[in-house]
Amino acid sequence: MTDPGDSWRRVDPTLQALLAAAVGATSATEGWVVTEDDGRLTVQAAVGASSPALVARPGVAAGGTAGFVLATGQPLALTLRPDDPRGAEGIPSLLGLRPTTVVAVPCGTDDGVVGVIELIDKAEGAFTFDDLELVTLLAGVAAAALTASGSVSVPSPAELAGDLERLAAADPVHYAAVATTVTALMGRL
Amino acid sequence: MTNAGTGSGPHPQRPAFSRESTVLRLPGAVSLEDLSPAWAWGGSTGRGVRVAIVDSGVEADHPALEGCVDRDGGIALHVAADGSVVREPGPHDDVFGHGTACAGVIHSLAPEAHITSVRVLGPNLTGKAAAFLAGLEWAVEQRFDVINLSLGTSKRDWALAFHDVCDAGYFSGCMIVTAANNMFTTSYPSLYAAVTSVACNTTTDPWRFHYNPEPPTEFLARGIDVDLAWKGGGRLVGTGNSYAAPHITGLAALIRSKHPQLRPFQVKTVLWATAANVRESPPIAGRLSRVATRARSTRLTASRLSAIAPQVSARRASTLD
Repeated sequence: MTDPGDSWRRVDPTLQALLAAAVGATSATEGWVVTEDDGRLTVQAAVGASSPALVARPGVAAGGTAGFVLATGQPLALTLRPDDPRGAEGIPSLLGLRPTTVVAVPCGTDDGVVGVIELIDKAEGAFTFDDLELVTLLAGVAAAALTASGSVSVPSPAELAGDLERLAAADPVHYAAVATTVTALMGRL
Repeated sequence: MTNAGTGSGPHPQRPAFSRESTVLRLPGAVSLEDLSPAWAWGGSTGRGVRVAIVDSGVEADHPALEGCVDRDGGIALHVAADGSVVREPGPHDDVFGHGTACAGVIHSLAPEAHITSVRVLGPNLTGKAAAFLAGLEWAVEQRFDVINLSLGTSKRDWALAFHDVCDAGYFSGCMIVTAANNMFTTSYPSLYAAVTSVACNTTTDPWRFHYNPEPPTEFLARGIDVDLAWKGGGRLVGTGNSYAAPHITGLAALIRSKHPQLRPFQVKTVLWATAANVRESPPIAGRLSRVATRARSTRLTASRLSAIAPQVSARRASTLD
């Protein structure tokens, strides 16, 4: 078992402060900032009784609410019945939790969604639309913090070239010449 | 060179602007004051309309959908390890529940509309802009009457490609309805004029929606604490613009079913005219009328309406119920 003390030292303080603000302002019980790398979710910051140990743990296969928001960029608030097993998918599965209320919003940049803030189990009732907007506001700052801290892996030239090739296939009028040029340049490197 | 004034008929080689107005005379047109909800969708069930849901998949046998899903007509797309987009036509499931939720909302409003799932997320919720774009492209090629997109991408590199596909859809008659992002975060294709972008209002009435005078979000519909069908045959309660968009999609399906001749921009105009805040705005001088000064009144009304309508942004949508 990883020592939570070690975990805390590895957390970006800005991310941690943002998350603490989100948890406090929404009366959530637990919360985390999640990034995705190669199909696995990694916790970058965590707040709550059982969450800090998550930070140093290996990731979980992308899934659950955080996984969906990472893939689609669509913020969500959900309320599940206590016996609904779907709430346990994703990060809560690492803690053996089965949340009944969840809010998850993307940390978005012009280059895509770089992370997600996910909060669970509001102290009373369900997360509101105001909660969703507030966390969205903080998630924008978290996106900058994630990018600045290097928590988000920068795509390699080969990955960028692959993306460009896909764009060229989808929209040859605009991208084919650029893709050819980039591929030729990479061939020289 | 145009043929204006020559009196000749339409020529397939000539662009539309070269035709005479006599050639483009319409057999009939609806004046704006006729655009009531009763006219727009009264008695409509969505029969004959095909709706595509580009999302996480749709659970076709969910009891709330009552068999409205064209299970065999759907397609699942994902990006393979080598970067290519894999297309798998035919039945598939919902990998999260979100697409089923959207389908449930649409079906509750337009019960006889046929729903087709275009799944653009992989089995582990892996999503790539390339798969999303290819799914939307497929739906446009299939000429669905209405396409619901309760998701988006913030990747600016893909903006142009999405713009082209949305324009192609618009010109071919596909009504593309997207969920707007709440704030700050850019999301494509919800920013484009060729789509109909929707955010939440605070109503609990699925039929009550608002016109937003501050685009790119053009309409506000129910999206808070919505009782939703979800993966696994069950239900849950959800909040988000994701669920506002399918309310407008359902209404668009009803309108297109009753008035199949309408183009997307006309459906958008019908939605504007039937929005709660437009219908309930105080009467003002120069309001739309049948008199000969209709064009002038329309301009006046439009400007005055803009002046008096609540200046609501998607962010402040909660002021409307």
